[in-house]
Amino acid sequence: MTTDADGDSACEITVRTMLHAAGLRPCDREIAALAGSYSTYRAQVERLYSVPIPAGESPATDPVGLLGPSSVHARE
Amino acid sequence: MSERHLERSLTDGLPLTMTEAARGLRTRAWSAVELLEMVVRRAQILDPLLNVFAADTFDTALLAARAADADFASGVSRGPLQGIPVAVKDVLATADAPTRANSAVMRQPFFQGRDAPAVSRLREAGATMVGKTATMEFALGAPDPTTGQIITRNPFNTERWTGGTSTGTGAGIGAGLFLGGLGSDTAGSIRIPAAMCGITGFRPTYGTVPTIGMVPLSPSQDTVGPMARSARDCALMLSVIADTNLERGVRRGSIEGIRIGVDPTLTDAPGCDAEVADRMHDALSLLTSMGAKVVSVTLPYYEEMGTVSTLLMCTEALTFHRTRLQSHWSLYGSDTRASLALGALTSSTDYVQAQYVRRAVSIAMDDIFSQVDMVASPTTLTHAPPLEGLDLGAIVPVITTQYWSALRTPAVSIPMGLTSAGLPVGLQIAGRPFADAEVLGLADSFQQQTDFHLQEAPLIAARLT
Repeated sequence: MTTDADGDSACEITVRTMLHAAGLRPCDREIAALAGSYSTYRAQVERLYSVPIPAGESPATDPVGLLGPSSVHARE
Repeated sequence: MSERHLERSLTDGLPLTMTEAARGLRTRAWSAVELLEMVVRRAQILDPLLNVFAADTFDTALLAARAADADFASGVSRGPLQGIPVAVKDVLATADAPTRANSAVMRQPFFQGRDAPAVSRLREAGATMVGKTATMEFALGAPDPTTGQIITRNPFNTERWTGGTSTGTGAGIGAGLFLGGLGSDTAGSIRIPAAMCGITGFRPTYGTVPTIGMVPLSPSQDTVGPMARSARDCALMLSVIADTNLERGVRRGSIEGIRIGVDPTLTDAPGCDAEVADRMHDALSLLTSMGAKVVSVTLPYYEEMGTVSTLLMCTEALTFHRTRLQSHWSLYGSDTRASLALGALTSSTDYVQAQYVRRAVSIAMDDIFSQVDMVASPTTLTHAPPLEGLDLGAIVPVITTQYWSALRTPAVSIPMGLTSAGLPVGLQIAGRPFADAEVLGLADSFQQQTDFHLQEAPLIAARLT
């Protein structure tokens, strides 16, 4: 059985680990604040994986492609 | 209404719009030096109250104004902005002042001794550059007095936020310290301060105005754009700073039959202030009376696109700041640190998925834009919040700007009235990519029937008299 405290602790470990991997060194108070908001942010990001992506489409890393007519071939 | 009368300040006669200033310069109603003296006098009185400037360049501006007058006298035209005082957000490089981005971290030269292309285009068009304007730290953070940042105050109420992040440009135009300026807009940083300071701000189609020489925030969303009193002034500036592949100016003519999409879920949301919803209703009623047709639409994946914009911004910003953040963590403001840290809490997989979502929603918007010509909403769902205790986390849900940032489409914010607290609120109009002239054209049509964009804050008038 997992408790809220376990979840909070897991969030804090995740946040601390990822920040450490990026070479960032916030104080404990800041890590606690980031851990507190992390689960909400994570849930928002997870929702992005529920958005259906039209078959054949590529990520919008090409600005010209994004601004021009959408990929007609992929929509047909 | 008497347009010419209303486009001048009732307090000191300052022309409020660039269009009016240009008219006066060419009819010799005032000289460029006289115009400069008017705004400098205002700055001397008002800047200690509002904290608009990161650095003023009045000395070089005087030289430029004298040169403009000499050119006028000899019949030489340098361009449409000749002799008009403008300012530039302190994330854009200028040759005559350092670029600090309102940060204790930014102490090394950036684009040293050179103008960003957008700035040099203003100078080439004859503009008189009066200074660099304050920004929220790196166009990202929130006001943080513990790091020595400049904290700009709203001309309509100095206890209120200006909106961000082009804080100084917004407040400075609202207070008449210059007549136009450049801001940067990544997630709404031109449109939000325009809404809260009672002026017009335009985010152009992504990629049409060069961002070279801008301290980067989110290169896949960053834009440089004009802020001024009117849409017509923004179009004038855009005609100068944009690359040549963009239709210039405002598309004029009747708005009869123009279809304006409105997503009712935005104004019906619990976070939308009733007075903002009322002003929006009034604005739509006016547009309808002018011949436009309001069409109810649902913006696809509205909330998800807010996440996309934030994710891209924080992740891309971290790439620029990572090395300095590692060594100078405590020199960054607390909200800047928190936003950059969010970038470190995002995986590369998340980043790519965000770009996929961006693509999917772009395709879905093709269908929306086959039903409507433009989409309107309040720029923010509340008026300016108090500066004291400002919580950016609470601001994000009440801004409607991120959607269009992620889509990289053009969007303008124009004043649509005041709340009972005497604070301005903005109407956002967005269009399909490269429909910049249509968006500005609709905004201009609205402003031909209203004078919200010409309202002067009572506080400013009181200080000047």
